[in-house]
Amino acid sequence: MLNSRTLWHIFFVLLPWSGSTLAARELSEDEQALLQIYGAKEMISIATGTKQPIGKAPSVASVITAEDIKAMGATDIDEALETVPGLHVARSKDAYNSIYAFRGVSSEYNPQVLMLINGIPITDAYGGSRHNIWGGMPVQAIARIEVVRGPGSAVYGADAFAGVINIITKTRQDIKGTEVGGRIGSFDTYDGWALHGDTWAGFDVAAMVEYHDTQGQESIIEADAQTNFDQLFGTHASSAPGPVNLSRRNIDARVDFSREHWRLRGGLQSRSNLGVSPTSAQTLDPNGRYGSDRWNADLNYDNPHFAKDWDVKAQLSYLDTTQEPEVYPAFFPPGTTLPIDPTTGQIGSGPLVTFPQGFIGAPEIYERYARFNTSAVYTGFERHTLRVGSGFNYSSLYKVSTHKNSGINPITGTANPLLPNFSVIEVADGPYIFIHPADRKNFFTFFQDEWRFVKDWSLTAGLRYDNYSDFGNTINPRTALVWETRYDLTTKLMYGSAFRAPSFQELYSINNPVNRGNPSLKPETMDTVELAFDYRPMDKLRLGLNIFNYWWKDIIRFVPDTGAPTVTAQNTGLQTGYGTELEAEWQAADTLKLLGNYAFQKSQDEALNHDAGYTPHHQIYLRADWEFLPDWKLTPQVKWVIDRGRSETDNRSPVADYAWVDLTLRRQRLAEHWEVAFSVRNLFDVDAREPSLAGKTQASIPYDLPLAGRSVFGEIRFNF
Amino acid sequence: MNLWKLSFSLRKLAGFVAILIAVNLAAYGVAAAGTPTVAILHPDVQDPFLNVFMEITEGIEDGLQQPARRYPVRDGDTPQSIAAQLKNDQIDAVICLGRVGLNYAKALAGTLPAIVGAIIFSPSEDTQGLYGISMTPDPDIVFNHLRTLVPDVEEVTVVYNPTQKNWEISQAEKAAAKYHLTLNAYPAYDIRASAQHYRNVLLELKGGSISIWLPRDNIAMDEQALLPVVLREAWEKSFVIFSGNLEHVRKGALFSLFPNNVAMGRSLGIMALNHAKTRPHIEPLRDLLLAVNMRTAEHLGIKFTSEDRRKFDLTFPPPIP
Repeated sequence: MLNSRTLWHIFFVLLPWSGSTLAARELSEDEQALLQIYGAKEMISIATGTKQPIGKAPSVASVITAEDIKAMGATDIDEALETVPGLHVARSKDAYNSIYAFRGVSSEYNPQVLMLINGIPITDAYGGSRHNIWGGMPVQAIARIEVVRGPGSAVYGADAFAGVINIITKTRQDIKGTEVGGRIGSFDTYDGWALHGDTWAGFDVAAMVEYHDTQGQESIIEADAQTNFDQLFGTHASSAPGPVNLSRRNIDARVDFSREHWRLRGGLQSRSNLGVSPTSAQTLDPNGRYGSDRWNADLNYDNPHFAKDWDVKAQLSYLDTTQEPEVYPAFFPPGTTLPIDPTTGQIGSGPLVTFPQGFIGAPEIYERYARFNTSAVYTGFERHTLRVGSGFNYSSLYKVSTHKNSGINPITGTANPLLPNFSVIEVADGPYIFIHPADRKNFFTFFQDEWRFVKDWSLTAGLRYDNYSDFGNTINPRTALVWETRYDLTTKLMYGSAFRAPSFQELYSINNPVNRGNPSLKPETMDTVELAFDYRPMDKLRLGLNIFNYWWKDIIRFVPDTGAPTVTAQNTGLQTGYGTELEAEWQAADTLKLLGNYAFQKSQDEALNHDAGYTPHHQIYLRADWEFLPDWKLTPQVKWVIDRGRSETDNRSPVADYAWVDLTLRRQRLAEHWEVAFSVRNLFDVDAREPSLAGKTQASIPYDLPLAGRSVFGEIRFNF
Repeated sequence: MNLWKLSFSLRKLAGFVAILIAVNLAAYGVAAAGTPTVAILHPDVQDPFLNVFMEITEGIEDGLQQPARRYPVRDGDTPQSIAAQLKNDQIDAVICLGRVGLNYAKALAGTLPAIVGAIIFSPSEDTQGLYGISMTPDPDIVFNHLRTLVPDVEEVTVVYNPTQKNWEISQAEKAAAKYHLTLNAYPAYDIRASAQHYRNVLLELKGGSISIWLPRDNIAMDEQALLPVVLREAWEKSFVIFSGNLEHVRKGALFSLFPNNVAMGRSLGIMALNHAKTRPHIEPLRDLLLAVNMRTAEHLGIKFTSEDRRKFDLTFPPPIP
């Protein structure tokens, strides 16, 4: 260890070279004066409330700011999330819905991730993921995204399992004035937005509206599930080879009113013209369209000085979601010939039936959620910070129906299809519906203590108790031992457990030709141990390193039933994994910031004694934010996705690695109020693919799910 | 395509746009109701620097109880052109912000009352005939916070550049006496001399009741090389560093006072209304916010009361669950 005297000798030797960094943009005298006060531009943003400093958490967390999102040219939240170490955004067979695969934990519906908007879960109780008709999320209204890797159920409750993504929307302080913008890009993509932040009648007010219309990328699926049927039954119904259909028209609108300790928000995420090809049957359907409206409102109270030593928060929220077909999708395309069981009208053993309009199934799902929670932090003890809270959540699948041309006709009680017209019939709640309306009540309470037991050491210990009306109780602890090792180094050793509530689909699915729900399911559980280091070896360089090990137990999977062609949800799987994540952020010069991360994970399906498959073993991300001339910014970024294995039942060769490069050029302050940007995504037009679902004998989409080729967009903003 | 659905979506969009326009018009209507008599001149800078001037403007309008008109000073503007514009707009008084503003204030002072703000004055600055508020924190308030947060401190050591900081140090001497602190002030004309002072001070220092004050000074402090050494020594020897530079708190200094721009703007607005009742003078900055590094505080074993924490406007790192 060097002593002080030696350090001072080194310092005097190095002194002549200090400050010889890359030449900075020439700042005006006033800008220099402000930098003397605030130290850095980022600190001005923090001090003036337009940016939050990165917090101290007893977990491994990343923050993506609005500034980061703009620099990287992300237009959808998935592009921003892809930059988080250890998180890979894969694609589902269902209309390419996002799979946020944290540290090798991946599944088709991806309910193992909790996504929150302003701290409120947007999980849909039916499927357990964001929403079947998710349709992405635009980024103009996002102030920052906080991503916690690893379990967080001791804080967030259900589904804070492999990771937590909390999206914080903009407030008046983030907008300050008015911004109007538009964007035109490949795939007939048109975006427009308007943001306004001001004070009104003593309130801070923010209003945001975003519009997004696209035909979607049109990569070719070479063969689909219908291709198999065509070979079996000698038909030519498949649309493959053919393009995916990922069109969508989105309207996102938010308002935010705040005054003193109170904040009221309202919002709408409206999705329409949403193409759902590939369908959940892994077939191409160029015609089917869905829509969804998600309305939300929340009232918040936040008083850091509620009483002496008490910081109190409370939140009341409401969310209403719909899933509505606009053009009935065909699981199998017109001309498909399928064996139909004459007693049930379902695919099964029976005569071959040709469906001229296709095999149609269009479920409608309506849900609503009401939540209340309150928490308090008590700092009255000298060495302890206590956090306590409790709350109540109500989830309701209040209406379901489906339109289909198969199964039992509820009016006649006879099996469809009814020759000769194959009419589409509505099946509302009743004996033939795919799931009955259901609800869930959840009460919870939690306690956490941060105990600074000796100088530079603290121990955080927390416990959360959840009671569910449908599957009972669960208790989830977490502990974190934090050691402020040195002036520039913090070390954390953490343990956490998490649970994932079974979705209504897993619990209650009925009349499905294959999948059966199981009301006696227990939650999936996850235990994780992590060791993390936060090291700042130089003023402008931050390094983070962690190693982790997880045990994912009681995994809910659909298991074949004995003596029947059906599968039923069971708590059966066990997966373990370990890995490491290294991240670096270096402000190389006033005009150049370099960021990068490397993530490694190895996950094993213990029941099958085989690699869990699907997710990359290695990921590398690099980005440069370079202001090469005053007001001109160039941001190249590259993401390598490396070494994705196949699951045990999948004998295909591994999915090819890819290196995805984006380049964004931005000119700010053009004629004072204007800003323009141009971005190329997938610059080198690489054939990047995400793994399709393995089949029992072969994959229904054998050549995986192709991502978009090279695309471009141009963007213009006006601020006043 | 479902046309009804599309039309419903468009109606929803139209509804939100209408709300936006209505909010804008309402704000415009309020603005138009008063008669602006005070103008604000500020440098034509971009974000995030502009945010500072926008906050000051917000405060000024609050202090004036009426909207004020902003004039960003652009390349090509001259005192004559601005003066003509102000006259044309029937402006009664002008608040000039920043170094650019100060230059215009001096030129305009003869024609209409000028108040200056958001500027770090150098000791040699000619401020005669000007009203205003400096961006340099009042040492009295700085030492008051030091006394409150760390009651055990007895000595304050400062290395400073006499060409920039003489006035501030003389004020600090008075404040130190008031709060029963011993001020050890070491003048340094360049970074090497400054480093020598720090070396001598830090090698002899054993922690305890001594603190180091880092005033805003780009001659006596080198951010890249010297500051990390000083902060590391402070951590290892457990003594207090407080600074005039907000970023130093994030890096490990215990606390910093930084401008409360809105409150400072309010003070400037009130000064613009009442200037005629006083003689021209420049005040040190008293509208300040407090940033505290909680990691450093815990390392130093400093216990904050609920009342202390209530005064923290910014903490590093901020707590999250």
